[in-house]
Parts: sequence; C-alpha cells; structure tokens
Amino acid sequence: MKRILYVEDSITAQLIFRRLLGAVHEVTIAESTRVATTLLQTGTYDLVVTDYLFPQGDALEVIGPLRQEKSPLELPIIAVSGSLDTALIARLHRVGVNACVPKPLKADEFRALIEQMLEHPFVENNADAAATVCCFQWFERGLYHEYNPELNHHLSGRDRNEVTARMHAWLQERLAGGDSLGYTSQERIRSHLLPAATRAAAAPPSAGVS
Amino acid sequence: MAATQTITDSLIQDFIVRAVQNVCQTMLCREVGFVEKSSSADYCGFSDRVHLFGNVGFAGEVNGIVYLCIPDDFAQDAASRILGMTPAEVEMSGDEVVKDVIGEITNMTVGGFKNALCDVGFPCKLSLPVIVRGDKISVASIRGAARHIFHFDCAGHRLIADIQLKHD
Repeated sequence: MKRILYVEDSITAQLIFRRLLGAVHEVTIAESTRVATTLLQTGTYDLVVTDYLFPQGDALEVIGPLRQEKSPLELPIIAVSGSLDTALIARLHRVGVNACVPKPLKADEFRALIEQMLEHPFVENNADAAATVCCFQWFERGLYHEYNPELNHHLSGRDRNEVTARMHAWLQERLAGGDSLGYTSQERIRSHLLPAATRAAAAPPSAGVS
Repeated sequence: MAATQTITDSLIQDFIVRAVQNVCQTMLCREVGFVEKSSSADYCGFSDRVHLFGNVGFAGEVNGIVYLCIPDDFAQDAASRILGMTPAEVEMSGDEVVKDVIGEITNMTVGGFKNALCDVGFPCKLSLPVIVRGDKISVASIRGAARHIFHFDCAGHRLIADIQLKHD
C-alpha cells in the first residue's frame, strides 16, 4: 500500500478519488494548497495528485517549492483539472509535473496511470505537442490502412510503420498550414452484422494504394 | 498560440456540445442529445420547477460566462450516481452536497469548453464555479456580449447551457 496525497477542494472530487483508490492505497486529502504544503513538510508520500485551481491560489504554490526539494522521479506529481488546455499543460510540465490528466477522469485509465506512476515513476513528454490527432488503423486484404476522419484522409500500404510515418508527416504539414486538428473524440468500433448474401455480392475493392 | 480561426457560432456549438456530452457520459454514464439552439433559456414547465444554476466565468483573449441550468431532480440523480449514494442518502446529505456535485460538473463542462477555445488560439482562464438553487431564476444578458443558448436532453431532463461571450 502506497501513500498518496490528493490536493483538492471539491468534496465531490475527493469522494470520487477515495472511491477509486482508497481501498488499495493510503489516501490523504488536503483541501487547500496551504494544508498540502504543511502535510508535505511533515509527512512522507509516494505520489502527489493535485487539482489546479483553488479558491486561494493554484497548484503551482505546491509544485514549485516541492520540486526544489524532490525530483520528478523521487516524488511524482500528477495534475488533474478541468482547465487543462495545451498552454497550461506545457507550463505544468515545465515546473516539474510528471503527468496531466483532464477532468472528467476516466476511472480505468486514471487508476492505471496511478499504478504505473507508483511502480515506475515517469515523466510525460508532451510539452511540445501541439495536438493529439486521432487516426484509425486497420488491416484488410493484405494492406495496412490509416484514416484521419477530421480531414478525410486515407493512406494504405504493406508496411504499417511506413503508413504511420507518412500519416504523421502529412498531419504535421497540415497543422503547420493552419488546419485545425485534434478534436476527434468518443471513437468506437461498431461491427455491422450483415446477411451472408451481402458479403457474397460485394465487389472486391478497386481503390488503389495512395 | 495565435488564433487559427474566428469564434463562429458553429464552433461554439461544437465545443459546448462536446463538453456537455463528455461530462455526462463519463461522470453520469448517461447519453445526452443536443436538442436545439434557442433564443430563450425558457422551456415548457421551466418556471414550475426548481433548478440549479451553475456558472463559471472566463477571462483572457475572450471573456464571458457559461451558465448551466439543471433541473433539481436531475441534480439529485446526478449526485446519487456520482457519489454512489441512494436518492434517500443524497436527500439526507442536504443541499450543499448536491451543489458541490453540480459545481464539479459545471467546472468540468465549462473547462472543456474553455480548453477548446484556448486550443484554437483564444487563451483564457476560468473563475471558480458559483451555484444557485431556486425557482423563477433568470439569467440577465451581459451588455455587449453575444448570447448563445443550447438545449440538451438527458434521460428526459432538459439541460441548458447559456453562454455569453465578449470578444474584442
């Protein structure tokens, strides 16, 4: 069982956090940055998880002094907030946060991140990322395919890594050209069950490899 | 980041619809349908019911405020789902617990909307949420601000996002 300090003023978020992790780790709640600073001076923790915005200030008041004493690998910090835009994420990484997680928290992903961080602390390196762009990959009739739904762009080829590299380069080019990217969400795989006749009658694909 | 586009009506709609759906799906495990963009925050039966109004302001390259108007019975159900309590336990816990839940929902929803604005080149910062509960409440327009009112349906409840934006 590891010791986690959660800095959060919302009672709702505190309850959710305890429900997610309270059974497997020792969770201490600090309802303000001032209380967190005191607890960090007197106690020992394996991980700090902190909200960003508080009525009396922000998480930088805790993170700054803490990072002067302990490195990201000695005491990892995860920032969780509803207001994590790209600029704030970059700023938090610069001051020494290991990872940033936007609220609302997706329970399974968040638990997995906490366990990874406790087991082998790491630092996310996305401070330079301009956007996270979702593409869909699949394998069909001997070819690897990758499709970007936002710009309706489809690539395929016999080598998956080569297809991915081409898509990455193309996306970078479009982003640099001013295209707005990174807004695909709620992706799902939906299997359509069709009658056997439909499959038999379907013509083989004639599209070429782009 | 320099602005990559102007804040059009469709962009505002896109951002708020995604923010509301993300929060309701993740926090409440509920699907939310966008109903309409309206010129009024009123709807049939609105004045007969107690509502909670959560609001969060934002200031920066773009200034404004977002109000989420939530029927009281929906708020009670949301608190029950999020806190893992029975409806009776929520009722016994009192108004402050429900207000805190709606504060968190408002914060996440407006945060999602604000982050989308930031990421297209309109950096701004959020204020803390303020929650008011009552009936016959109406939201006044901010002078000089464009007002966008969006209606949503979640399990038969009408949720309203009332956005007022000022962009110099």
